[in-house]
Amino acid sequence: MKSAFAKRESRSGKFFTIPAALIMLGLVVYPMLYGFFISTQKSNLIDEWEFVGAKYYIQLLTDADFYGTLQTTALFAACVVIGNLVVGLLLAVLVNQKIPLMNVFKVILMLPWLFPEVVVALIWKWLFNPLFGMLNHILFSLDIVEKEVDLLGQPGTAFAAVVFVCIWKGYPIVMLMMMAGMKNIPYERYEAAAIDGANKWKQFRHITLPGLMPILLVAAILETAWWFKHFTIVWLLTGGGPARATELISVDVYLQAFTNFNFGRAAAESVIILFILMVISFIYSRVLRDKSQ
Amino acid sequence: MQETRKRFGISRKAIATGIAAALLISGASALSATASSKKPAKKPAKSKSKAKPAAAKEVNEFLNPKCPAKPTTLTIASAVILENPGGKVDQANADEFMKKCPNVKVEFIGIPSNLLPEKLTTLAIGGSLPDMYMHFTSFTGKALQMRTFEDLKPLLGEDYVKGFDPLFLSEAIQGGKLLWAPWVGIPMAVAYRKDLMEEAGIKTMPKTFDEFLDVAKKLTIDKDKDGKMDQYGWAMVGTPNSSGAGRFHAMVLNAGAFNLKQNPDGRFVSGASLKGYETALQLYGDAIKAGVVPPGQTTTGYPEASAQLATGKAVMMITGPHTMGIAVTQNPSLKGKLGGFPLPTANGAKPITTLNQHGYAIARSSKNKALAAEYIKFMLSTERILYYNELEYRLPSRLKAQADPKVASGMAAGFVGALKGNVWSDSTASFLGSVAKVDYDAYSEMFLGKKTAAEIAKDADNKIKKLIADNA
Amino acid sequence: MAGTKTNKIVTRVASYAILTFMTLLIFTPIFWMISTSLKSEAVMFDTPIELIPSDPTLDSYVNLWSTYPFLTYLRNSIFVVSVATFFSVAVSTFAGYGISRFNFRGRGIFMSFLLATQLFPSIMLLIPYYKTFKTLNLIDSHFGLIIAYVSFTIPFCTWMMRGYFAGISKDLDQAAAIDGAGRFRVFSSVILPIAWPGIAATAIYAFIAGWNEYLFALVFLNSAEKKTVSLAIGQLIGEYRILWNDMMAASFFALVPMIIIFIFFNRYLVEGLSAGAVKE
Repeated sequence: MKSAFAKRESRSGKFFTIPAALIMLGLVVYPMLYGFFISTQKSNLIDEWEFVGAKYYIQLLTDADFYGTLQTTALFAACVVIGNLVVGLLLAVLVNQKIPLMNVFKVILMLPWLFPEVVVALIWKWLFNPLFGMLNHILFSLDIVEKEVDLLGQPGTAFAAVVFVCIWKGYPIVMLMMMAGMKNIPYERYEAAAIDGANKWKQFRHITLPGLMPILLVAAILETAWWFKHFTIVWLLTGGGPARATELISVDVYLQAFTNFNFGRAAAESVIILFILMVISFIYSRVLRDKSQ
Repeated sequence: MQETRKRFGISRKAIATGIAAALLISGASALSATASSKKPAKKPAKSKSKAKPAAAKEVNEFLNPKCPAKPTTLTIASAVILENPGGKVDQANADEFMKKCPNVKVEFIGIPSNLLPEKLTTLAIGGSLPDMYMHFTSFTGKALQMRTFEDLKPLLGEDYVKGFDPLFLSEAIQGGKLLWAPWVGIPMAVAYRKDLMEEAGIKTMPKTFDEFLDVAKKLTIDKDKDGKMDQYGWAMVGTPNSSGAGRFHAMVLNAGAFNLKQNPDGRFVSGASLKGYETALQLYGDAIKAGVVPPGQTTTGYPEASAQLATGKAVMMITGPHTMGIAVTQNPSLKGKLGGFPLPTANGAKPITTLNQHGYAIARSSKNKALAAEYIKFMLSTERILYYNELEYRLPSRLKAQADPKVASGMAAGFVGALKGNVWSDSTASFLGSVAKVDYDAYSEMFLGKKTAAEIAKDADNKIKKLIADNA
Repeated sequence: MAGTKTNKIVTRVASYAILTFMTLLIFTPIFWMISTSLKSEAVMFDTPIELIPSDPTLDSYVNLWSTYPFLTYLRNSIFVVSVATFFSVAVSTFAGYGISRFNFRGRGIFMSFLLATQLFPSIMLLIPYYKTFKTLNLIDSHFGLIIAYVSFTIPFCTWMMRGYFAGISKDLDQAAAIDGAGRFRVFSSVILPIAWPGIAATAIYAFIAGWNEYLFALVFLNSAEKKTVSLAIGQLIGEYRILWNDMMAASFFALVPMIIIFIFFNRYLVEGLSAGAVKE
């Protein structure tokens, strides 16, 4: 009986997942395999193919600049992900309160999600402009500064500025996931805690946070992957400058592939990125399994 | 009877063979039409054109193109079509052509120029390049690797090709083949606001780096005495991209150095170890220190810098004449107030400039090569190319059009004059983009003021050498 | 209990303060966007900067409809993104149900595989996608773009639907099965009807992702009349000039449909993600 049931289970399971699997196989696996393949070739992708083995991998792994860029990217991703998680969680907790106007705030706080990345980047770039931007205008009229402030022109502040803009764009989806996660924590737990004399902070630490752990960690994995691969906003804001302070790894992939036409090297970089992210995901999922036990 | 039949018989067969041969020949010539088989249209000009002398051999005017027999669609990939005012020219050319050949449909594939590399590359790799595509010199290395070019010499004809400015040709001919039909170029010089120069009492244009800096300082003025500068001397393009790198490299050239060069034996060498590279970096650093550049130079790209020039926020800008066209379009009151003078050099030597041309190439995969060639010749006819020049001040590639007095006069005079000096052409290295990155990383470092120009130049030299080695 | 009452007031004030601050932070760029869209070309780079244009003009908005075929772009975007969303949601709902209900060999691999697809830089997908679509003759076709968008959104949507189904008790399935319904009937007649909130949530995510997508639309579409709204906005960023006012007007217009959809489906969204997303 069991094996027949198991067989039926297996068949049904596959039946339901086959469409997704097929589409993803054709449209994502093929490009990834293609990527693996061309990372070992010196090629123009049309009619010239020369096997070069691990040449590009070696070039990359012995290039100090490559490591520098990876470091910048890792730091950037860490800052943005942590920022998104903190801001998203905080706001979710706030709007979850049963006080007036929360529904209005819920909609307003989602707005950054709806903007295309291109528009977000350009608006903020304009706002930060020392000569024509609103930030300087406000700083000057409030007499806070005497000389124009060029946020995007100094390495430290440029890095902070791009992290800020990315958090501005990215927190809504985390907030959404947190709001959903909290809906599943039974209200009775909070009531019981309140009766026991626990204040809001204690309730948060001992009820909300543990209840959100699983979803927090899944959000962390996805966010890390997305922001590690990020390109558009930073590219438009600073182009990777000043002096490579905000140079993300995907900028280099783009440069190699489409400006230098060096697809082999771009593909090798992509594979390395894929590998790094897989390791990170693996670590995360280990932690996730431990935490939810 | 016998004779007649035989005559007919042979004649019929002969006719049939003749027709077949004619078809073959016309088909073959459609694939590689030569100018000699084409008679330049010398019909009397229609209403708008000026009267032309009935020349014996006209190789410039092709305003009455040879139209194909069947309805054909000609696809053109262009970035200009999306721009203003350039787009007007592209569309006008297409409209006029379609009027002359009603069974031709000219279809543009508009690609924003900042995304041209991705799209063209993808199209080329996917084998779906349009019949004609806009080509920039920076794309040459790649296009050569992808072998997307069709040699235009046979399609356009030797005589026609002679009508191009040799400077343009020298870049467009690689390995004996004409890879694209040069259309316009934008020689680099210093664009400046004539009115603001006069206001500041500056009568002679700077010739050396030191003079340039001095003039810039004189032009940096706090007009309303509120403690903030209202006008700056130099609208510097300091963004870390190819726009900025191109301008920086122009200064490197004028200091007697270069970034990358290919020797006759095929090997590449780095020029960042030459003193001139350091000198150019020093110029950039000194300018920032002296405060002659509006704040925010790392985010001042081409659009921002030309806006600074147009609004009078800054007086001088290293750029091509097209900037004037765009400024005037944005603000018509600027007409006549702009001019250009040759780039300053480190120690008064003869200035070097770059051509920065673009043109149109015909894809090897195209099925309408003859028609595309007709379109190119149409587009490059004197009156059409002068229309573009009038709107955008870009320099025509055809000698006859260049001879038109309007081209070299007025606001564009300084730029055209710059071409009389030395002109530098980039090599066709495929990794030129990475070399440009070394350049813009270098001046970005210079802005920070933490390293000396000598140190940065050394770094740049090492990086370029590594690029050469990696790509050998 | 005076202590808790002050506590309550403090928390409330703090909450509103933070939320208001965030609102300001969000509205500032939007305000700037609208302000710029109302300026004429000549005034844009004027100093001192005007926060509220002294001479507002609706030229940019008029331009949108007269100079550019904005209506066509809107129509294209709505078509492409709606169809892509439909298929993505359909496939993901199936897959999500399959993963949450059945234990089959390869389930773990499939889930890891879905996650792994999110880890590859998208720009490297450009050329292989192009080659694939070229072979299938899907270039310069809305259908090619639709398929691409479906592939982009399936992983996350499947994850979302799976979480949602996990919150629907399996007992319901059993009850229906006992009544003699086959697996698919159980799914379609019993489970699906009560899964609408989750589906709505997934649909909104997929819609927004597709609406804002730019790079693949640019590369896959050639003809002017097939362009989407995001392309239209991107085009206004020229190499030599950025048409700020036109771009802001276009962005504003592009935003409006999404805000409307969002407000309308807002309730479903939070409800949709909730049931069982936590139950991993």
